[in-house]
Amino acid sequence: MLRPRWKKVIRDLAFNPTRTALVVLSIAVGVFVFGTIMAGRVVFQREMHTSFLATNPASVIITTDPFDEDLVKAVRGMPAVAQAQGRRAVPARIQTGPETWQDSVFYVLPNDGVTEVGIVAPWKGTWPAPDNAVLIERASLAKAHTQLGSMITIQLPGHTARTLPVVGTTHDLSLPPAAISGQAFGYLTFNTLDWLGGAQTYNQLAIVVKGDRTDVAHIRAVADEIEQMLKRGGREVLNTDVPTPLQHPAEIILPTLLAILTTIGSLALLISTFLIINTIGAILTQQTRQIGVMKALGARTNQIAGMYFALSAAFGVLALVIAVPLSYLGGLMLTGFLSTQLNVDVTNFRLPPEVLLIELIAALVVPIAAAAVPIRGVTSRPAREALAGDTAAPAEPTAIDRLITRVRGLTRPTRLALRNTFRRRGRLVRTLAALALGGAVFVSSLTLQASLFTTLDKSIASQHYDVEVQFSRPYRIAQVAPVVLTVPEATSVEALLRNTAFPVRANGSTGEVLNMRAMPASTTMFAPRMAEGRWLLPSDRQTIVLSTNMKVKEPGIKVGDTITIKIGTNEQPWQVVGFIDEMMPPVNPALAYVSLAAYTHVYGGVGRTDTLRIATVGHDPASHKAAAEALERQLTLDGYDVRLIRSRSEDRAILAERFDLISVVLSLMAILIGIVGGLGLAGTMSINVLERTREIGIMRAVGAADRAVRQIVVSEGMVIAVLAWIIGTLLSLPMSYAMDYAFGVGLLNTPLTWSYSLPAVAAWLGAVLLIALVASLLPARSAVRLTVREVLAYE
Amino acid sequence: MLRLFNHAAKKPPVQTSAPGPIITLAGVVKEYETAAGPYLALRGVDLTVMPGEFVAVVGKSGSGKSTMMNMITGIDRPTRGEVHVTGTNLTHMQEGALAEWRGIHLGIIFQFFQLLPTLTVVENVMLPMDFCDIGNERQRLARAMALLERMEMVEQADKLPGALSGGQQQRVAIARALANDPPLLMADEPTGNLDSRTADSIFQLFKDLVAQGKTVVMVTHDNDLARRAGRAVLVADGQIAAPVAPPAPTSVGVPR
Repeated sequence: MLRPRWKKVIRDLAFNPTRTALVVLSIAVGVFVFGTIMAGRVVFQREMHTSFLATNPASVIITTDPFDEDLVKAVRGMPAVAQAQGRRAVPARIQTGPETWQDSVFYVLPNDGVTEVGIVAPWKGTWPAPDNAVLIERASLAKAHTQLGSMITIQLPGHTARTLPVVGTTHDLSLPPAAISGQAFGYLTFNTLDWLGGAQTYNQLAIVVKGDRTDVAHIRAVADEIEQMLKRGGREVLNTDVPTPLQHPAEIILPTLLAILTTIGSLALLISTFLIINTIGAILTQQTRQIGVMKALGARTNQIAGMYFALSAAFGVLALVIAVPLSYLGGLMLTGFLSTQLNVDVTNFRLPPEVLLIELIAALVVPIAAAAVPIRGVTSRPAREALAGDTAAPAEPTAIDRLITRVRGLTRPTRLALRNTFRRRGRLVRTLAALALGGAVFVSSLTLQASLFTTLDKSIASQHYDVEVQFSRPYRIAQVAPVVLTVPEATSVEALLRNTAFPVRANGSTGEVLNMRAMPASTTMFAPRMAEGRWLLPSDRQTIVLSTNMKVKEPGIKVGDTITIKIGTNEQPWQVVGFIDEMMPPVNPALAYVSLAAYTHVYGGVGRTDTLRIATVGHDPASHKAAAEALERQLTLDGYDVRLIRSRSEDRAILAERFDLISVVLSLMAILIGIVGGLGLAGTMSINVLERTREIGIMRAVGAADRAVRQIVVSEGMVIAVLAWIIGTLLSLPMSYAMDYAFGVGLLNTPLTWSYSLPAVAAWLGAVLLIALVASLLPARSAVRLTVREVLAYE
Repeated sequence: MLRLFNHAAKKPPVQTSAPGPIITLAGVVKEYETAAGPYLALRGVDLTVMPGEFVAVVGKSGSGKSTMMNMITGIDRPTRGEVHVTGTNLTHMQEGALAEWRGIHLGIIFQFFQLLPTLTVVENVMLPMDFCDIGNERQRLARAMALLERMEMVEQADKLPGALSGGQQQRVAIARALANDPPLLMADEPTGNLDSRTADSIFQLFKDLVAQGKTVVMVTHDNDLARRAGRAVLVADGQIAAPVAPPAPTSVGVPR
């Protein structure tokens, strides 16, 4: 049989369902948000990592001159190499409309489809790929505008476009998701490649090193060894890619995204803590006289404290019952969303024990710890004071009271509402903190979203051209430029050259690949966003401007330094004159800008171009599309081998697509945090009205009409809402700025252009006022429904 | 006298021969700090109550009678002077020790009954036994039911206090005060919230308890009731205005 004191605890829970629901929801929402994020984070990272490891990812990928199986065998025989596999990666384009094309890369799979390194798994349809048909990576279907069983038109640079069936799909975890890379990926056989016009040779070596596969220095040393071997054999190394060891290409965006989500989850828990302190504090205040009676009956302080700690723990257990299944569902949905976006399969979703443990701690320890202060405050109160109850207003008028008295033109009920607002300052501070934090996170999340797109627009706007045409080989500028200008949509054209280059370190080793752009120093098509130093000048000799992520790849490089850049076998010194902000993940190859004159002086190719940047009459997506189609038609007609045409609108769309995932997650978090904050206000208003039931009865007994009572209660709610909104708005200024900075630098290599979201501020004001109205009207309605006799008898 | 279980080990035995006073207030002064300055609620009160006495403390509102009651129950402490109750000097005891002492040695009855609203009648009566760890659950239930039977409240045992009338609630409160079988009952305006007929029956209950050996101190502003008690003590302006010498105890010793 349960002791009466524990029965009291249970009945206190059961007899006040509204209050119990408020406390339980306060805890549950915090634990749910926190649990969802932690579950999503733990499961997704684990599954992504496990799935990726199962593909036996390459430690290093070396692109070199065409080669055959003999070279693969030679590399495989090297002592430091565990596995080596020859690959053929072919840049191509897929037709997505009458005159629209999607940039893509096709990989040659062995006839049996079996790969040792970077294992490609069959997904649906035929496997392995038969001749004269293709397989498409499942995440690329949308980008390629195709589906299993459809026909697809593929064109290799310099060759005729051919149409062939999509007979199957694959799942290739070694590739970044198409939405993030902006490219579509497919697979074919050597025979199909031959039919499309490609050579039946390998051009990439995918290698798994022996020894520590996580040690980048070791992998680089092995890569250097292989490079030396290739060079000794007279081959040119075009590119050496050492991806982050054993890390999925999309994993790079996770830490920043998850750090932001974890911060939001922790804030939800913190807000929830404030609410718990408020509600448990209110319960204790309400039961102060009962505590006094229990003391009078012989209850010791620790016995009473034990009862209220048990009550807090019971709230926690109830919250856990709600939060665990919800966070399971939330985690499942978050993981499902992330896995769809990042092309990872999560086959085994279980709430991780560590997350369950964290939820258990959060649900039980947080309310108990939060309740400790009010429990200690009330239970340590002498029996006489406890018996007297704790409903008295402060004896001394405060400065705020005096101010309210002095302000003219306020009605009596408004004055009373204002005084009531500031009556319990501790509770008010916690409510404001909860609501303001909720508001600040809400506004910051939406500001981050807005800033992402502002930065994107700014980045796109720095490109003053409308359409970029890349050729499969260089052409004479004097020939091709006039052809472009014959197209009515084109207004001006600028020629540049592109190449891949490598920085050479002091010890002779080479760094990561650089994407080099040689353009006129006085370019009118590009307005660089300088982070440091200056842009190229026509008078410069061998000067270079780098994107800021170069500092991550080669720490120590600064403006004024002279670095050695290698293109092919030609090593040249270049003086760094500036760094520019480029919106791209830091892991992307750094960009290096040099003047076209300096480049051609050193590497040759004077008067030639492989890339044209063209300004068009219109600047909207439709004009861009029309111009791109007209340019393609004209250039093809004149016999130019176009590899790729892309407009600024398309670039923007590709980048914007990458932000969709972040946007959706941030909006979701903003809504959840808003709910937590709103719940806090609702709880506080209910408690405030409940506590003043007797006072309301007295007011009504002395003639206050229902309207006056309602006005007092609702005004109080509005005052709290507006105060919280003001504080939250002020707090959101530095918070959103810090979030934008961390997010931009962590994920996009450049601090985001802070674009404070005023619509979010307005939406939050509307939300808090609505919450305040509902949260105060409901208890006010209950209060005016009671008869004066009932209210005065209220204990 | 009800004696349903033995908790003598927790309680000093009540003397059965040559008994000393059960309550002694010696020069008790109580001063409160208020917004308007210090306020003297008790101005050197001396009072002695012998075991088995039925004492009514009367006085006007604000006279200090409730403060005096708080001194005796250990709910409040004197600024100066000494308080001895059931042989214990309460003056310097800690809050926790006072609560424990109260649970064993005295039962308190409040004007507004102060039953815990979420506990049933029988659970309210069992609560002091629970807090003082007296008996096991079965014994506590048996004793609570016996006390309720004595108060003619058995049929209401499983109801919540809110379902009872004022008089019924006060009977339950008396049963609760008797739960740990204390020698001393302190009642603060126990009939102040009741109609005269119910008040009479409650008063009769006190008289019965006194006849059975309990000591009852009742604070009241009802002079008629005070006159019907064994002794009346008039408190005015924080002092005992009409000290009355204690009569011979109505019963010497309490069979416990």
